[in-house]
Amino acid sequence: MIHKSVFSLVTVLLFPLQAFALEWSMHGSVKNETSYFISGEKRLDKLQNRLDLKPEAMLTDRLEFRGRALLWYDAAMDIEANNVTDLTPAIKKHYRTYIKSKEAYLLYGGDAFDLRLGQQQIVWGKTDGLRMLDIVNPLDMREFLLDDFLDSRIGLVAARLNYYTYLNDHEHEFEFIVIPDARPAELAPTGSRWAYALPTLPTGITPVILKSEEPNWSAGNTEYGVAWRANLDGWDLSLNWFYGWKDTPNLQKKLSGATMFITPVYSRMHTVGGSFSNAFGAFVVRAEMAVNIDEGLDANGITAASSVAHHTTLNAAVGVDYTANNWTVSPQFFVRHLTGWDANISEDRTSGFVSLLLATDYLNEKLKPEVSGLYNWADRSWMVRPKASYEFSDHIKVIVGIDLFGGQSSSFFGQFNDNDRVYGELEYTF
Amino acid sequence: MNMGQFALLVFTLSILIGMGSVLSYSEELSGLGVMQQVDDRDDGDDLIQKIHQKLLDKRGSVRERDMISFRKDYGKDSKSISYFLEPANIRDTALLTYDYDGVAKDDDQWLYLPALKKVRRISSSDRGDYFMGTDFTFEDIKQTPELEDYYWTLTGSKSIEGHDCWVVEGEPKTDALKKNLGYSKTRGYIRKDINMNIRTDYWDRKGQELKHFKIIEVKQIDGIWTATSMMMENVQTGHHTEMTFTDQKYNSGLSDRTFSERMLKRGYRAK
Amino acid sequence: MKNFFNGVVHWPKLTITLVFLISMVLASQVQHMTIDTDTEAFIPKGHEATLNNDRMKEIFGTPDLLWIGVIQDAGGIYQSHTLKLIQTLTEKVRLIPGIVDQDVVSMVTEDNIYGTADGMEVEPFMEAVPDNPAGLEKLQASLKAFDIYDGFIVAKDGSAVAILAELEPHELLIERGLDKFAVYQAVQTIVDETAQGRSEKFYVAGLPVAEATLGLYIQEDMSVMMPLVFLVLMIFLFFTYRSMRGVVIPMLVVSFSTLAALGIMAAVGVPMYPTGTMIPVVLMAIGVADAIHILGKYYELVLLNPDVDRKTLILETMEEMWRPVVLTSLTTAVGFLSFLMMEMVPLEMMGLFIAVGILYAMFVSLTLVPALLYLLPVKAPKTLLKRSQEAGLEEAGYISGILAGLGRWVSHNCERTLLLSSVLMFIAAAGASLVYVQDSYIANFQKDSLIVKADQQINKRFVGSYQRNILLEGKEKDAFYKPEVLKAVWAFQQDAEQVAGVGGSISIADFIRRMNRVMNEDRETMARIPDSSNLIAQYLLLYSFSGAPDDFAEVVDSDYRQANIRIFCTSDNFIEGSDIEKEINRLAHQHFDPLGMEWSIAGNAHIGYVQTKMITDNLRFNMLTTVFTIFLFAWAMMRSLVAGLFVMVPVLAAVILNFAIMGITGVTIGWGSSMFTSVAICIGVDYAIHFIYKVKHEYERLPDIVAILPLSLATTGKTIFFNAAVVIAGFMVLLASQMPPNQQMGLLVSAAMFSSFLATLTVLPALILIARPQFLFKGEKS
Repeated sequence: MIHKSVFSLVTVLLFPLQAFALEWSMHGSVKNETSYFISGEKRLDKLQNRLDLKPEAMLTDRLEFRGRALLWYDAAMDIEANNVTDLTPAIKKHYRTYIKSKEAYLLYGGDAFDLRLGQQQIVWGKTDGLRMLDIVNPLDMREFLLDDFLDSRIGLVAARLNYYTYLNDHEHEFEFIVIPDARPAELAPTGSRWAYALPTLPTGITPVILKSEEPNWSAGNTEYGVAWRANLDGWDLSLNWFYGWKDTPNLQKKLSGATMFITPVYSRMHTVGGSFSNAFGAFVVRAEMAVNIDEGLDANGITAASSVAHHTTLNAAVGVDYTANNWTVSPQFFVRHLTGWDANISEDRTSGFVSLLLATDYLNEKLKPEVSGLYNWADRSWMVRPKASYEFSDHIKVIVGIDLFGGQSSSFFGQFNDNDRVYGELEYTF
Repeated sequence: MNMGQFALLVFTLSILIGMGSVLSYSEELSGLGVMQQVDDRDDGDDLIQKIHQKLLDKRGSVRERDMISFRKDYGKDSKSISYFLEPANIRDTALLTYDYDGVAKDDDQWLYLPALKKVRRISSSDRGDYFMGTDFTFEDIKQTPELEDYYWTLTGSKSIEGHDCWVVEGEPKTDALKKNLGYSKTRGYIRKDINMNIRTDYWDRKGQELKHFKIIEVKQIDGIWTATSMMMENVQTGHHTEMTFTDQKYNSGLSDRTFSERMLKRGYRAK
Repeated sequence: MKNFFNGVVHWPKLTITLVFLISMVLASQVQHMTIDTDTEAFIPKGHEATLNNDRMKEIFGTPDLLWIGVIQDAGGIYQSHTLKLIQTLTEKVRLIPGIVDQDVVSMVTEDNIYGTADGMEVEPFMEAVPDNPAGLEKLQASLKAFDIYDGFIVAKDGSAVAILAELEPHELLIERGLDKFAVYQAVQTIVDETAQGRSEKFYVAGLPVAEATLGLYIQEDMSVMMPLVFLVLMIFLFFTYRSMRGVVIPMLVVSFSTLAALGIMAAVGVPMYPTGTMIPVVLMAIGVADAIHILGKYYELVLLNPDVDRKTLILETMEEMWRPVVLTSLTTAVGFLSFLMMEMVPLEMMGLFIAVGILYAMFVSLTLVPALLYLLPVKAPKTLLKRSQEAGLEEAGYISGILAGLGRWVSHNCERTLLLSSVLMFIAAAGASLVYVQDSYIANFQKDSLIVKADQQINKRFVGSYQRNILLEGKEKDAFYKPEVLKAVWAFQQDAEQVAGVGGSISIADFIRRMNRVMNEDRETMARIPDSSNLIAQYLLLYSFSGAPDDFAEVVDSDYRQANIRIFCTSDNFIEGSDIEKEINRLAHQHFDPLGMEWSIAGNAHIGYVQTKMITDNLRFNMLTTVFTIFLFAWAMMRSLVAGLFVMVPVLAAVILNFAIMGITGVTIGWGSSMFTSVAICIGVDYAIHFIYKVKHEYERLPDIVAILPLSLATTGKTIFFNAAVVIAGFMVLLASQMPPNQQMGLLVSAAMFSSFLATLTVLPALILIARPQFLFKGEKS
């Protein structure tokens, strides 16, 4: 898969460039990201040296190519000694190097439409930090949710048509998406420090994880989406429909003697939803909602049929941004509700998060401190991430920060209790 | 005095004051009148221009940005969209503004942040917020301030660099506005010949001198008087911002589609 | 009076015939009407500004120039094909009838002055169009070097050329059967023909253009809009009375009075000034009132006494109505007659003939209306009849019901009404304080009209199409040979050109400077006045060998005693103008007083400025005199000081609200908007008098003020409402007009109607209840 997308990047990049490129540009950055675990076993988390490249070309007046490739070498994987838990050779291999095309698409801008063909990131929704409506691209979760979504979203080969038309003096946008390149999220490898905890099993029972059948590039697996967007009377509105795959698998369990066979299974679902935002004086209100129809859910059963349930879930979020005196305060509230819930389902009937972002800036926006926090009010676990960035010049920026986790060890954030870390980043952009 | 007599008295008073203000009409231009002329100045129906910003702090460190900006007037309202082109770390950041005349309706503003790949609605009420680290607030970078928000007084004429200017002082009408705008007073110098505000001094809420705005170069482009270079200096921090404007194109008949979320997301690429 | 109406009703057909005949005879005079659109008519003959201007025209010729701008943005005008075009266009313009042939100025006609080995040579800048780059460059350099022409006949940046044409004097044009507008049109036609397929842009501007077109455009627009206003008025009248009678009678009154007023005007030989368009407008707004009130009363009586015969009802109607009709007509007429104190003939005549029209409307209302009512059968709608018999007049129709309710509310909350009105007045005071004086000819045209665009382009590219002239008079012959005098002139010019809005200036000093320069090896530094008067005399002698004798006729007289400094201004707006006037006055004092020279200001921009200043200076005085005259008159007629004061209340409220609306909508005081204030005053008076009479009349029958207020509102109040609604509906049509002054008229007349209506129906009753004035409640102790 990796090679395929890199190959596609290179071909798409080179061919048209020679054929009819008028102007092309290469922007990007060189960046070091170093972080150190300060709880649990204290060690280097990463010492990544990244190269981020954004090649672009204007092929004709209307046709552009835009791409982005990200590659790095993580020296921590060679500095830290092997162990049998979280630094096995396999895990190290997973983390040591990375080379991927994040985006590589052709953009044709018509008068009333834009057509994008190729690998791309499609972002829906209005909230930050957690994804409710932002479901089109799966995530690479090698660092849980800590990496920027821009870096962790997996680009999908897709065709996207955005059509714009004026109705009653307002511009309406209709978006049509076809994604033949269905893919699931890439989870952190089992055993690594960012892997989700496996379901606890009674002692004496050995789990055996079977290979799963992932959605892949085939006609039957194709994902589709449609969205409408408009600004009416000051309200930014959208309605969305997506027919795709749930990015994360459900664990189908089958007990056979003392062995629990666990098969990650992927299921298709329809998502319908919408979003709005508007400004009221110093406040901006943003909200989104996504209804997942027959979403696959983990259940407590031990047979194939009883360990995975399908129910419709309601996911909604509302956020407020308040800006005054150069401060931004931005609380958000997320809620997830399962219809048709019963006690067998591993999730709570209703769960959710609250988040808070505090940000400001000093020295004409050279120094920008901020704190963001996420609290899961269903299992009372939390994550707090203070950080500060400083721009030395137009090209050089430094970021330092801490990521802290808390809560019971089985909880959403609490499972990473031992992963509190400090980090520093140095970036040069060009 | 009973209620009736009181009402009678108040009414008589109101008529007298009313007639007083009718008969005291001014034969000379008022401060508001001057500002109205500034507001009415011909600045084209639409404009494309490139902007080069230089942010200098008192230690001499320099940050530079390049932008391209599009504006189109819709009667007294206007729409504008500005894209950052350089440096790379803010490249593709773009701001879309629907500027509504008067104070009845807040402006609509959207910001596209490439790092989020999202268009964000942002509040336009905090007009005293500084724009992208410059010494210009969101209020300052507009064509003219909202006239209804200030008491304007014409305090006289003065010659600035050989140009005859009106001197107009503005005071935000309420404490809330002073807080919001960050100014307790402004003093503008308006060139009489072309109705252009070429200098403004600002005082902060404590009444201390805060900033000096100065237009350094004015040119006639396509017959329209255009500031091609300006400067804003914060005298308290020593930080200042220079802006130069080039490649102006007036009245090129920009399409309404230029000012949309679509273009905000797509970014600007030189053709 | 009773006998008079008896007579009218007894011989209705005779009355109608007589009124028709008189009206038709008067109307037939309209054909003798002359039209005078010359704006100088506004300033009284003998006013200093007119005298100076006339003197200047006599000695130096008119400053009223038509500017033809030829703009070549692609490569500038120094291209052979563009220059050829300018040559042919100049020739064509010179041939247009009404244009003074030898006074057309362009780079084709003007002469360059240059030095030669044996003296000075005066030759046209361009005898033949140069066809090689060197020639073009030389032409450009020679125009650039002659500083007065740089910016004057060629734009400083070389992007445009001006052709200036002088119109023949007003009287001469009339003699040839022409007028300014016809000449302008002829020029525009030639220009349009020339523009066919050319890359250059062409504009025609100048004060004569604005003057000539403004009056005509306003009238043209009016002739489209007025029938519409009429139509809307008629539709509303029809829906109000649901009968043709209700439409025909008020319309007859308005038409007869307008025709009579204009007829009498023509018969006594008063010409139609631009202000004349106001006459039908005001008569339409005010003239319908009498008829509407008579009709209203008549219907009221019909509803109360369905079985009584028409004759008795008509007599009773007229018995009750003739006093208020006469009184309102007289006060309104007196109000407009106060215009006679304004010094400006067109305004005086407007006031006088509106007064005549209003009195004629009164005459028609008291004769034709009862006679027609008698001849036409009356049928009140059955439902209304039934309802008014059962529940009283207060319930006859929705509007009566609402107004009666309003009356009841006001009578129980009179203090509150007054306090609320006070709040409104305070707010209005704030709005009114935003009003200031600003006027310009150009502002009267739509912003995107050709005239405005031309004005902008020409005043942007050249020195300015509006002129102020300084007439300088030396003590003796040859005063302008003296170096100190010429130096003072030049110093004055240099200072004046720094004033905002001044684009450039030309005087004899500029020519002398030019001669000094060319006689000194064409050194730029020598473009100054020489120190010896002998030298100056020699220069002029040298010049005369090759130049024409009248070359300097526009800037100095033949014996060099009087000179004309032409100052070009880029706009004619009042505010900028007052600043320029102030500065020029100061500078003239500074430079010329020490030399003991006489000076005065003239020129079309000055005349325009003086006109606006006279009108606006007079406005305060005019408002006060109108209000005070009406007050005195009402006092005398009702024999009560308090009554006079009461009548004033809706008037003042209307004036204040009108100013507030001007302030809020950004209408400035100019000669158009200032006239509408008087209309507001007169309408307010009408309403107040009708209402006071009604209350008085009812109180004499039934001395219970709380009961009669709702009744008065439901009857007379309703009539006032109809009157206001009908006129507002009609005038709102003007908002769709093409001409800003007519839009303003629509807005301000409607506003006057509305505010008078509101004040009369709320404030006046509340005041009556609180103050309990003697003139209404005779004998009652308050």
